[in-house]
Amino acid sequence: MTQTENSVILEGGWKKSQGYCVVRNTLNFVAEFLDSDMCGRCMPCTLGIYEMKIRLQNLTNRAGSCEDLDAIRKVAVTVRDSALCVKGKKAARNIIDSLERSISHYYEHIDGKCSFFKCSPLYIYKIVPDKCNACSECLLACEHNAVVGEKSSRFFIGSKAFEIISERCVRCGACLKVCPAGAILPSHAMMDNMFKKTDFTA
Amino acid sequence: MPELVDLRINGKDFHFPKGSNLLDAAESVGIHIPNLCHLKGLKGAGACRLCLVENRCKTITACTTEIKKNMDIITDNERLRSLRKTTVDLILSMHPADCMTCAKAGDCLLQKYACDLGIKASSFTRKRFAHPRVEYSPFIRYSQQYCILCGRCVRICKEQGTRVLNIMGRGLESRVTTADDQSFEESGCLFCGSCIDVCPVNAIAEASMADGTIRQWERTKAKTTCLSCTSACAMVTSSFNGEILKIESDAGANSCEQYLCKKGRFGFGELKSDTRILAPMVKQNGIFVKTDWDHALAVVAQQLSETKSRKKIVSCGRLTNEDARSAGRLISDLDNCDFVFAGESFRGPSWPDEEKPDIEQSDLILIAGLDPSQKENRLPGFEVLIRKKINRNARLIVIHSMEISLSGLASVALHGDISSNLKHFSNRLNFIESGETKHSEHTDSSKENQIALGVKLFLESDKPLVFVPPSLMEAAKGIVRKKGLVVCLTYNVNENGIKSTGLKPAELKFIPEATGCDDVVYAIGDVPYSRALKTDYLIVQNSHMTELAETADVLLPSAAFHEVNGTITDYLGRTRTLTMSQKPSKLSREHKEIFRNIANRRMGAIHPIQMDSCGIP
Repeated sequence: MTQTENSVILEGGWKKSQGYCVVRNTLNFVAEFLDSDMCGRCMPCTLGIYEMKIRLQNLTNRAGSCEDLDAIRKVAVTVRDSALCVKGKKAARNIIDSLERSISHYYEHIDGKCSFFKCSPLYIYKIVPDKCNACSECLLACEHNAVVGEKSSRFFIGSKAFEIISERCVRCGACLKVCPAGAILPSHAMMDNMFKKTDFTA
Repeated sequence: MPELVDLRINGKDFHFPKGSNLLDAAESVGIHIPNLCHLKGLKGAGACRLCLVENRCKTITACTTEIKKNMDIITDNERLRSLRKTTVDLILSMHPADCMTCAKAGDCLLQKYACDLGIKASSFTRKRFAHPRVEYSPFIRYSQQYCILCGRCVRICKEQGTRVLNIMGRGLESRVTTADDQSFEESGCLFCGSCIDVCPVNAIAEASMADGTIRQWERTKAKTTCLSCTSACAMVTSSFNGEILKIESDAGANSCEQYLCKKGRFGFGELKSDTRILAPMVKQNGIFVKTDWDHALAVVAQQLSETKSRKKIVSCGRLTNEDARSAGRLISDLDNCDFVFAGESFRGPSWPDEEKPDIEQSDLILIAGLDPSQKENRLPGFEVLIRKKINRNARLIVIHSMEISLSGLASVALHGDISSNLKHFSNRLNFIESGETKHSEHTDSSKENQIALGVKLFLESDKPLVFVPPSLMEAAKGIVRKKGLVVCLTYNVNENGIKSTGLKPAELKFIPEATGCDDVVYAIGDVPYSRALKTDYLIVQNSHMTELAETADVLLPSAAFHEVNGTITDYLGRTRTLTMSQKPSKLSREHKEIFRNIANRRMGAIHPIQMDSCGIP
């Protein structure tokens, strides 16, 4: 593992990010439950699970804090104990289990790091300058104009490494796939201006 | 006697009837279990989850649980309180935080429970449902952003048979609304306002109470009785500075009579309408001329004192018992004077005082010749009472000439000729009761089966009640020879009370066309004859101008029933009180005051005007 500045770039980061992020998984589970399975007839389950979705979104958006974890825990216990039907209780139990098994990952997210490179606000794609040969394949592949750099030409010796502008990058992974040198890797660097606001209307 | 069951609540032992609801039972002994979605008398919904209690380490909702023996209930401990607190906190996070200006402040259950549980502000993120809808129908204001989805309005609307509200959508899309989100008017809502009575928050309220400027605790409450129709529903009025702001039903949450129709609930505006008679008036040259009480009373006293002329006093039955006593004293003094009720009256209640009919205990209701209908505003309180009784496992037998709205709910519905059906019914009943071998069968065999079923249900029942109009009273008496009571529903709401004061009608059926031979007719109250009565002189004493009043010779302004104190005796023989909620307009007087004044005037001496107990001259 090489360490540059405050970011950790994993060797073979591409493979590592194939795993699933626990927090993201829980968020998907809650969002799907809200959209499809929920009946909405008892108050703790309807309102509580919506509250949990908002809190999990905070965690995956770099707006997470310990308060969010406390709220999730409190609401999940309430839903588990007082929901009308088994669906709500099971949903709440799953969430409590996830919190118990993988609490370290939740804390990581509060610190702004997603080990699995799944929560896009929590990681960036970085071009390793040593490996980049300025072939401009990544620039051509990027649909969001996030890559800047000058293509190396036959007439000039040497090249300047390309750079990814993280504000524009949506982490779609297109550049990562086309880079012949394998120079693009996900990294845990913190970006202070990547805060996303949650829309609170249901 | 229902079987009693022993159980323990919070360490104390209690006995309750078997099958009763745990929440209601605890409430009856003073143990309050918080709930936002329960309605007394209805099946529990278990939607709010605030009423969770522990029964030997098992957590259950009290509103959906039936009493069983050997239960050991704990209604309050740390864990339950924490669960309730989080739930109320979650509801508050989804609720507009405007207690300061909300019209329901002081009466709001959410506010009360938040205060009880010590929640100053919601500790969760501020959210709202995505479908705010505020609708101001003529009477009901529905603000969806306050709705907490307790479902009480849906359930009460279903119980009363109107069924316009339902919770549509699922999950976070749930909302209480009418079919296809129609407006209340289009949806078939009858504007009875029961949803307003049961809503725990500010979601459904009267349109006139949209702003909360006059707070709940600033209003004066007065319990009174509605005299708009014979149902005589109990109501409680909220007034401020002598003006009524709001009327709610008051029969008690558990009672089957908890209902008010739109007339009773929203009709108090008419107390200040343009058609109110504001001063005594005498007709001169075909137009009404305002005059003072002295003059008007002198004219009336003179007309009534003519010994030779035939006089008839017609009452619409909205007089209180006190008014009737006063009228009785006046009439006993007059020569050649008859008293009648408008519409048909009957001889008298058919029960001795000790055995009055008890509508709560009754388990079988037979109605003959009556078509109570909320939709057509004909005895609406009575129709809803029957629907509620049926929901609480009473049975209904309907005998009417054609299908009525209640026929669908009846165990037995006999349509066709009413008197013949009644006769066959009572014959068969008496035949079975007396054990004779022969009885006349109905020609129609399907009817015969229905009658046989009806008679069987009647015999199985414990306290049957038979409701009839005056014309069928005699026929109905044949049914209740061995058990049950006949109750007569007349047009005149206080007929029982007026008769009990000694004022008996001279004829049982007043026919307006036959008044040609009367010289003076004195119509008291809202006598419902729109054609001009054929009489020489017509005196009308009413609060509002009516078609009959237009043709009168003298108009005496009287106080409406919201403006008097008094008692009436309703159709079930119960004494009901009226409390003054609004001051009458300056020159209106109570009926009993007017009768007293006329009697005084007649004595020749001009007495100083007496004040009655309300200080109104």
